[in-house]
Amino acid sequence: MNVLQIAIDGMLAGLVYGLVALAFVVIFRASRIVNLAQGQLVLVGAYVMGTLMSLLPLGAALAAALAASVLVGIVVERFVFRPLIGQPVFAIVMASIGLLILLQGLVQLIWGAQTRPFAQIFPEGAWRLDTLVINRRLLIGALITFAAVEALRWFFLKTRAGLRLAAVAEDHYVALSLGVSVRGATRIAWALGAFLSTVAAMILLSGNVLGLQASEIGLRALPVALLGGLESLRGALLAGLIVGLGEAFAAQYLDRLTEGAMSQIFPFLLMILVLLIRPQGLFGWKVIERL
Amino acid sequence: MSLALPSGVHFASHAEELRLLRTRPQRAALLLLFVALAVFPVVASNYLIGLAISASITLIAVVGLQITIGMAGLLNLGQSAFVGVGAFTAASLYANHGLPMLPCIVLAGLASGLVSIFFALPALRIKGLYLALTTIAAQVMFPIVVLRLPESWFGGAAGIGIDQPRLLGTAVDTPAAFYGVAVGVAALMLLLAFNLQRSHVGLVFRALRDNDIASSVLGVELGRYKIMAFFAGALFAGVAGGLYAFYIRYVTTDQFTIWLSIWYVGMLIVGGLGSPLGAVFGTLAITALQEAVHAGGTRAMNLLPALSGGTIFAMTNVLLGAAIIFMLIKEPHGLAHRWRILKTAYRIWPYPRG
Amino acid sequence: MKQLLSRRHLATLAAGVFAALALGTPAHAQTTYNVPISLDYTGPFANVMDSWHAGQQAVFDWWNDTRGKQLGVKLAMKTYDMRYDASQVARTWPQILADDKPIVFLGMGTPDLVSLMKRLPADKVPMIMGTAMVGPLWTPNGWHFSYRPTYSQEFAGLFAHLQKQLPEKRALRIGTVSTQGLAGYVDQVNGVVALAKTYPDRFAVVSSQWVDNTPVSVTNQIREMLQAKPDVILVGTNTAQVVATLKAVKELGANVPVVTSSHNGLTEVAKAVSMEDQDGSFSVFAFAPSMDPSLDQIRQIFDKYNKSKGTWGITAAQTAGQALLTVAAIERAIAAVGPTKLTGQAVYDALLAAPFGAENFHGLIKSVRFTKEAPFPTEDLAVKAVTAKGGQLVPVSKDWMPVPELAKW
Repeated sequence: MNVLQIAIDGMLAGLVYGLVALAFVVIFRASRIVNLAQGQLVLVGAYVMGTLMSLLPLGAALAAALAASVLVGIVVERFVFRPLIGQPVFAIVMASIGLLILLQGLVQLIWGAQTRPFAQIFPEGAWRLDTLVINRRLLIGALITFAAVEALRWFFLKTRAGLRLAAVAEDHYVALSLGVSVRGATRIAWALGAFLSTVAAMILLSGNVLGLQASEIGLRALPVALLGGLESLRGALLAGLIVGLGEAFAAQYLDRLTEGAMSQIFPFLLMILVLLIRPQGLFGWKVIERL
Repeated sequence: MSLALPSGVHFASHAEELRLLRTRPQRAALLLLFVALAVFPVVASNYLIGLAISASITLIAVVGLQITIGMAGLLNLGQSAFVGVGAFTAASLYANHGLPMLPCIVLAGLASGLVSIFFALPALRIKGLYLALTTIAAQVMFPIVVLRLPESWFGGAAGIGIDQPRLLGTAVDTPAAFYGVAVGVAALMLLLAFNLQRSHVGLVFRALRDNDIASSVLGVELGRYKIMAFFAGALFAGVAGGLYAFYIRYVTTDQFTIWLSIWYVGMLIVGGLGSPLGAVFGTLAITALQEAVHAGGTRAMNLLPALSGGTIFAMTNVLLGAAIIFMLIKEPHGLAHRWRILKTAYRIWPYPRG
Repeated sequence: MKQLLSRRHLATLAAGVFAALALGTPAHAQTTYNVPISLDYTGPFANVMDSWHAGQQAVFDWWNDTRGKQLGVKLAMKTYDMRYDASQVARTWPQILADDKPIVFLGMGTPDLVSLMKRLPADKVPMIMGTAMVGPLWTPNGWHFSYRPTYSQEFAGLFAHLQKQLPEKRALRIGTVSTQGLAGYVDQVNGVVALAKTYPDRFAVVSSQWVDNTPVSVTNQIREMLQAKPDVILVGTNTAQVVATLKAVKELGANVPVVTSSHNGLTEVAKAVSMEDQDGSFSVFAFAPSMDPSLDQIRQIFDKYNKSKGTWGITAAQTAGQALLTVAAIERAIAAVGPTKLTGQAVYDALLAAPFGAENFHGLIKSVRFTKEAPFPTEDLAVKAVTAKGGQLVPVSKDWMPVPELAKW
């Protein structure tokens, strides 16, 4: 059994989780909003894209879909989260739960429950490197993810606008008192988050069947984001790699002992274990709580 | 004797203030409620009685959630899994081991509580949202583990069926009979929850929710009480699960999904996190909303054949999600808070309730 | 004036009216019986309900128009939206019993089974299902019936056919793809494993892979499976897994056919993987595929009586079979107790009394014989399958493929 091959396939799959987790982290990093509805953002992005692709040629449809996703992000921010600026994290988590239910229902309301084909955006098949087989779609997706992380890091750490967002991520009121526009920050966060979710949808569903269950990826992405640390961009990526590897090796070696149970549970067990040792995730900000 | 005056309710002793029913009008209202509940199965159709039973079962689970999330501030996104644990335990004990119905339900609650301790242990180190992760893990692991356990325990892939629920020798398979059991258990659990809220443990929970570091400074054993909060919530869930098992009479893992867990949280948010009354309001409001949408939708479908059924199912989700967001923005304390304001306004009328 | 309305005049008038009425009514008085039907208009399967109900409604209307008129019986369909939710079924059932006094109930899926399995023997109303069963519901002395056996048995029929066509005399090597945590999916694999244990010289399960319900990629698992050199890969779960499996197989440069069921069949998969790319894969189920030429008659019935937006396809064929079984049982019950005395017990007895020959089903189903041991026929089972060939969906064989005998696992 080629361990390297298993590792590569695991990592490529894990990077898709990482991309969705990245969207989650971006939103949190820029606005201190925990978005449990991440899977639903992917779902909305996918359906919008599906519709646009049947109306416009591929390139135009992609651009339009990304623009539409930014719009969706801004609308969600304006009507759901702006009224909740300054509220405790708890209330915001609840709001995202409400958003989760709302978006899932809205997608079914507008597009119906029928599954539909999703156009092929990325090339199918695999590249062969010696004896190694590397899935084309997932490799391109991985490269996009790496590029996104580096671009976002540059934005958050090297530009003025991005640095200001760090203040918002710490505390809304403090940021406001320092003259940082929390509204602007939330808007940027959601635009970016929705954008990345749509990109993830593209990678996930290219050439696949599109149905309402596409939002299930959100369930996988949340633990990945928590494992990496809610504020860390590279952490989301690394956590995705780790989870992907973990799943692959658990499937390979542990599934035969537990008849398939381990590869499903393993990511969660791993995360709980890591969180017990490092409660803020691998690279999350260590928050010093004060009375 | 407490006095209800426009300037407020006056108590003569601390014990009076702690009472659940403080004024005479409150006691009268409760009596009326009991009478109404007793008369209901006589006048209502079988479907409505069934609806009331389902609502009571959901109510118990949501009240449990209120203890964990509302009283203690610990986010629990896996309540449906704990309901499932209770359901399977009750079904297994009744069908495979022949225990009578009530002990089955009690043991179901305890079993669920014990299972929750395992998932609450990380609470000693992990906080807030990260802790929610372990509850999601519970929800994901539940079906996998149950399906893999030996068939003689929980039926494996088959699930467990209950032939005929018998309470103290008499069969309770008619809607009216089961209604009595369900509402009775729900009332009891609600009483327990209200008592918990005003007890010492309830106060500690409130301290935990408000600021856990401060409470630890004041000498509260955080770990112990956090686990207790989970245990209590799961206990309620287990009892709800036990009732569910006897009502549906067949349990399979597919009946307990993460979507249900999310709906429970949604109901709680709409009703109000602050007290078990919020759980009651939330459950009733959302159940009513669901039925209204389905009834209205079916009628609309008959009038406009162009309307597809998928629309109606989606509508309930859209409305619930919108309701949650609306409540959080406009009335974060939920319907229960509105109710309290209404009562106060009534009591001090014609003075403004500013 | 009073003389015009004398008593004698009134009596004659009354006699005349009565005579007119008596002559005007049909020779047989018609008795109407209620048949409640469980549907899902507002739950997860709402999108297929049009075609699903169309199959039932066309058959019932046809029967009422032809045989029903002759026998003096009218079957009134009463549809109930059960939202694919066991608690909704449990809530509504007492109402159905009291209001409709049904003689038979047409169930849709697992929620109906789960809620009603324990109640039906006491309530004395048989339930006829429209979907395949799962192993755990293989219980004796039930009042629930399905002409489709378990999914595993349906697969077994195709496996037996394929094994006979192998160039050498050896066991058919089967790989399974399924998901943990979902009882039905796990059971499918258990059944196939039991099949291999019962006939080790004909079938062997060489690899069982477990994937996510909606997997990102199953390449690792399929690679592992290909090591064991399977002849076929069974993916009886959902469309997403079939798509992922087909892609993984192609990516790894292999060419192993995939076997699916009716709900995740090749037409669904064709939304993502073209029929050409599915070449050689199969869909198998216990009724005749909708393009089977032997189904012309039922197709005509459907086209004539269908009033809804539903179309003829696998879904409508499946429920048409369900309805045909129902009316066949009712006809037999009428023969036994007469048209005015039909009860649930009578229909139940009719279902068990004797086999139902294939002529009842217009080619949709082979003959069925129910016994008390199982909710579905356990002997003489047969299936039909379709395969993708040259970009088209074609039936695998003209005749029914027999299913090897399989004991409860």
